Amino acid sequence: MSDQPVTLSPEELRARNRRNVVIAAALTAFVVLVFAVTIVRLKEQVVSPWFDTARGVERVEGEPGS
Amino acid sequence: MSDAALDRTAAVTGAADWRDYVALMKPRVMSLVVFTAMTGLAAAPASPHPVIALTIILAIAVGAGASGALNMAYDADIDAVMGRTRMRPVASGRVSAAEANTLGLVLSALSVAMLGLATNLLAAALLAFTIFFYAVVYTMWLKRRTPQNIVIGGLAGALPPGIAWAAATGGLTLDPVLLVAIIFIWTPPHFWALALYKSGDYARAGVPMLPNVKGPAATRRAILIYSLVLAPLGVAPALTGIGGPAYLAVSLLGGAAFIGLALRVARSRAGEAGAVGESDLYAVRAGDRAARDLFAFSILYLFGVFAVLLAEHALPGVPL
Repeated sequence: MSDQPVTLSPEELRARNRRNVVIAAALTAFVVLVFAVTIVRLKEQVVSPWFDTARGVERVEGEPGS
Repeated sequence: MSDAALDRTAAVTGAADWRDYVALMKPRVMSLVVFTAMTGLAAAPASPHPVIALTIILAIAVGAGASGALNMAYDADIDAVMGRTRMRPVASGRVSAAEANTLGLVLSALSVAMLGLATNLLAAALLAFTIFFYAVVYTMWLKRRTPQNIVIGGLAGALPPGIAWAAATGGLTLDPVLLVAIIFIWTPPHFWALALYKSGDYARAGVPMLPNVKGPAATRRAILIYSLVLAPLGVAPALTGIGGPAYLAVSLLGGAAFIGLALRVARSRAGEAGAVGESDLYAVRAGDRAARDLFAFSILYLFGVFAVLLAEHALPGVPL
């Protein structure tokens, strides 16, 4: 590697800025997607003590599973 | 790898635009993969949550894009001498091979992990196998060695509807295997029709396509044989039940037209006179017109059968 500092031309600088914006947007979209998938998977698999997800109703005291 | 390719690998690529990185992922191939995967997902007897469905399609698309980037990194030397591919980002020196490799590997890992976490291990394993098959088995082992390269390598492009089906249901049955088989058998006549009138391009790059190795007559015969297998195979989903009456009609008519055009190619002298018009995908001399027509129709055929299948499953009110 050379010790000389790399000087980018204005066009290269603009191209790098555009790449950075696209990478930021892609990363944000990825984080949102992982969050959404996590919520959906949790909703599918976690059994709520207050809500019967299979029947879509609130659990009643004394019923099996409550 | 040639010296020119090594120079390109070492190129400083500060001016590469973000579109160059999108081009690395072969967006046209990605769009076909997304389309066939969506059909597999719609036809599967399970309805995943819309977020999961979106993730399945996205993971398969990104996985396909990753294999495209790995392919372009490895094939930069031959891409640079073919008219159709010489402007690709690595071949033209706008992106280095190392960058393309890194992008390909990172996206491969992300797409497989994402599909596995969102759905199941079978789907993730199938996606990983598809990427490995395209980037290593096809690109590194087969493409430069055998004229059967696209016959075997075509499996990678055929698997997306099977991956989507496995992601939605957790398993595989005869129906997704049929969808995969249709694309698998469709691929050779599609590419050989192109190779018949672009054989000069492939010969210059030293890629052993069937017309260069076995000659145009053997290629025309092979196209006909594959078309005779493809036509009844294309109708099969209507017999197993995933295709409805519209699918039956389109696959019957499309299959008959496919065989008709393949017969025309078999009787023509396509590929004999050497290729011209390398700059344009559809530009041919008169003798090669039959091959060009079959190439164009083959795209319409695959789009037609999968679009009808998708419509029958995804649109309300379409009889099944």
